[in-house]
Amino acid sequence: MLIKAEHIYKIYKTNASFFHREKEFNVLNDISFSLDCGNTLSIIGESGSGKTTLAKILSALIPFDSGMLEINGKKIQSFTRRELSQTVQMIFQNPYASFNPKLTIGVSLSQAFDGNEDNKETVIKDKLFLVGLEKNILDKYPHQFSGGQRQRIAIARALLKNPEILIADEPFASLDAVSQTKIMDIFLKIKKEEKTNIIFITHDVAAAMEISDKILILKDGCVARYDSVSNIDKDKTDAYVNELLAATYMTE
Amino acid sequence: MENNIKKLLRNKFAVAGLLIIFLLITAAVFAPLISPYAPSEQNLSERLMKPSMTHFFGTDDLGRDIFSRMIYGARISLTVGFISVVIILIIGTFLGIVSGFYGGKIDYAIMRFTDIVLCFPTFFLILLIIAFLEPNIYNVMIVIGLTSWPGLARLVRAEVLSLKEREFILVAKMMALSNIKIFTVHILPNIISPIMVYSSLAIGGAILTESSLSFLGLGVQPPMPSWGQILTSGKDYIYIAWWLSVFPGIAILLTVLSFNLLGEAVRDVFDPKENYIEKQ
Repeated sequence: MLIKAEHIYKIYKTNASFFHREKEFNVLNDISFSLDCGNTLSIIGESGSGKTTLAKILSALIPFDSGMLEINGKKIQSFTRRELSQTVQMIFQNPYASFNPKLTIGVSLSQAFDGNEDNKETVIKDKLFLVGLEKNILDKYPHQFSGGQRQRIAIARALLKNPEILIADEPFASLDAVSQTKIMDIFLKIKKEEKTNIIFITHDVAAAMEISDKILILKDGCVARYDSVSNIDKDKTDAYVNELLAATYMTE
Repeated sequence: MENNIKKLLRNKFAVAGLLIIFLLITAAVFAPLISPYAPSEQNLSERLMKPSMTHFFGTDDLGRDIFSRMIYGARISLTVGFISVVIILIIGTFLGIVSGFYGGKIDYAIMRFTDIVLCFPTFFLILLIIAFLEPNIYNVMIVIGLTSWPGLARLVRAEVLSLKEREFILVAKMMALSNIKIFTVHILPNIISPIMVYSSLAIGGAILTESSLSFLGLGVQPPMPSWGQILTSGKDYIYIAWWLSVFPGIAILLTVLSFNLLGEAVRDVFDPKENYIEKQ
């Protein structure tokens, strides 16, 4: 089993001050799911349902308060930063903020390499080709690219580490329809050609149905439903899923 | 880098600032060759002479040439300005980055210490320390440096706090970059502009503080000339010999102004986004 998550809780606390007591917000409540190798999981839900928090927990960027999370049978807390970088990579929802504005794309991408690997240039070229970009972008700065291009570069950067798990946190959030389709095609290509398992976070149910094998629906930090795509497609009795589907059709 | 220098040279204010700083540094380095008289050479028969071709900026109450004394004084002012700011930069940037990046108890401890240092009125704290120590140029530089870092530490901390939540820093963590590399490659280049602006202001501030200390007799000690000290000597003769106060005053003003102009221009040049907008 690639990922096994059991009873995960995450609480955010506000700082106490002279005028205010400390407040607690239960962001994730009793989240359990598992993912097998070769499967793609989509995490869907409304804004504020805890999707990004769960993604950050899965990539060990933030700790969780209780529960158990294992990747390949090993507890996530026992991974070193280096091990984790080769296991999980994440693509963030804002392509404008995911690149250091002071560094060229070439420098940003080369940070995925530990030392002076001989095949560095070839690997970068291959991954850029995979996302439909050329090597001549390496000397340019992030602000010289559109949102869609930056998101593609971000995908190429994440793939440079050859991670087992690629978490895409609402990769279409700030993109136009044409760019969304291009990025979706890239994910489908990665799923087919690379040995990377994708965890796709979105509120677009149609996109989630197209790319994934399993779907985890979050509502107010709780699991509203965790099932295979075919079961969700067949069983339309769940009111919340129907509401999400209806919202997708409205945006279309 | 070449482009940045070209862009800097296209900015009129930066060129003016650079020119003044270059002249000051040249005057300070080649002081013995440029100054027509020795800075401490007294000639009582020529005391309090107006500016003329023999004494460009006039003479003081002991007949010493003000122009020569000011050229030597530039050495003191620039040394104090640069070295104090280096001390401020090292302490302020280090504490600010560590405090902002690690957060929690480390941040709390550093920030409360910063608050304590900020509680004291800096100039009076400097006066107090200098009063206990021997008033000389080295103590002045060290004390200015050790008391003026809290502003920079707070500025750097605030910048780091907003930066560390930015996604490219999270990406850097996910790429398993060491904290040192995150500081040097991702954080420092993104906070360099406010640091540069702060430094340029701090150089001016340090020169002013040194001048004020020398004015009060707690800075550079006679016969070593400094701009603040020349100002002091002019205060008793302000109605009969204006040149004793005006020329060092102008020198301090121009130096502080040129560092500020340069800092402002460097801030613009280091921002690739602004470069890009201008190109378009």
